[in-house]
Amino acid sequence: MNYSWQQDRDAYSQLGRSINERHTDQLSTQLSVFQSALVNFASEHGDEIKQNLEFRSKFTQICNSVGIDPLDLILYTNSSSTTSNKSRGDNFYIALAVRITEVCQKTRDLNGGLIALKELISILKDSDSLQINISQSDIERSLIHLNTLGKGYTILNINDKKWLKFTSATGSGISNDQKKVYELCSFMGGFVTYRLLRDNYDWDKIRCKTVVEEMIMNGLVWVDTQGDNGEYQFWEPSWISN
Amino acid sequence: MTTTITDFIFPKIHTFPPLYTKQPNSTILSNQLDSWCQIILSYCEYYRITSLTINGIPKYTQLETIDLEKIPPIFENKTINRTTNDDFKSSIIHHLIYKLNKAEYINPKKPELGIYIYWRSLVEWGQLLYDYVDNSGQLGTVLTIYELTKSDENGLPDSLKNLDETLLIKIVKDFLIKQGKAQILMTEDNEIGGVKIV
Repeated sequence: MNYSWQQDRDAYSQLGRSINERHTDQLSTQLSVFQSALVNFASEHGDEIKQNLEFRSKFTQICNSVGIDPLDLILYTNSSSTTSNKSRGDNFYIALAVRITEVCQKTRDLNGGLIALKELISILKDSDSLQINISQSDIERSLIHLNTLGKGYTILNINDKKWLKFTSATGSGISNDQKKVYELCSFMGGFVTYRLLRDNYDWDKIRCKTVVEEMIMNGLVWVDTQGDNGEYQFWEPSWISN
Repeated sequence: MTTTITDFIFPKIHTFPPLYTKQPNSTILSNQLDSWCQIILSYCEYYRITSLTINGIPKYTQLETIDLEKIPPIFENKTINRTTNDDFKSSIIHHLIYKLNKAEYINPKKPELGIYIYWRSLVEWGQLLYDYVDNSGQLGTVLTIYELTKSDENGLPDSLKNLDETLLIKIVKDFLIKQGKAQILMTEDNEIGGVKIV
């Protein structure tokens, strides 16, 4: 008696599960159909959305309710289907600039405001629901727009890799010595020690200490006290996302 | 319940050596503490661990199939040869309890007894318990602790199965009774005889 009751219950719960699954499937299909309709709509009626204020606010509401960020739509509708970057309009680069500042703000407490372009691009791609292709040169063009607002963003070359340095209104740039620390980090697989700095650059004790301590203060490196032979290691945080 | 569970996959930051050193920069430190707490919460949720010792060793899990001594430790990473020291551990636990409100001392007067980890809050636990009793038509019935955590007869959901009894009592006392939704009945020996949820 007990046994068959158990079987009934299993059968019911299985049925419940499969109905639930079907519902979720159907709903997510509907949602994605609706989302793509919205994207098409935005590219067809882009001018109208731009000019008519009331229309625009309604449209933004719809976007929010189906989980599309209007900024993504601007990016998407202005990214155009051609592969040549030249055809991308100013709007695309301005929208991208907004995204870049968002990412920089969000990751600053982790990386001290220095982010590899490669990492930036992969974060941008992850956060965007519409899959837009973004290249390093797109980022560089966006920064031109951004820097008309003040020179807070600069691109640095460290070991043939491009990094974006983001400084707040009060903060300072990155010094040559700090750049050299990062260079050595990338050779060493993520970290430096005082000894490595001395051996490679012939810096004296005080110089090593000053540079590293300032980098710790700015959040550009993390300290590890458990290295081999108790030697302190200083790690660059972008290692985490590499 | 015969399947064994695969090892928890730690996020990449768990192999970042400086994570095991308390960072001197306060902004970075607060980020680091957040990262640690996130690791603890997802780890405990994965293994359904509801309490830890103050050194971060799992104390109780709802899963009967796992051996708490064999799962990978939270505060140690053998591949990179790093461990969190006790001082830093207690900062992390302090952060988890007072900053994030995701843990609580089992007995505030005796912190050495360990902490409850709230990857599910007391309110959410209370709601689950209430929903189960309601859905199985047992509102107003006196139920034993056994019936609420072990019994197979009334469709006890997996989420509640094998719940730590002391935690169960805490959920009833700190949430359901305060909401006026439950009573605890004591036996002559002053032990808990049953719970009535109304």
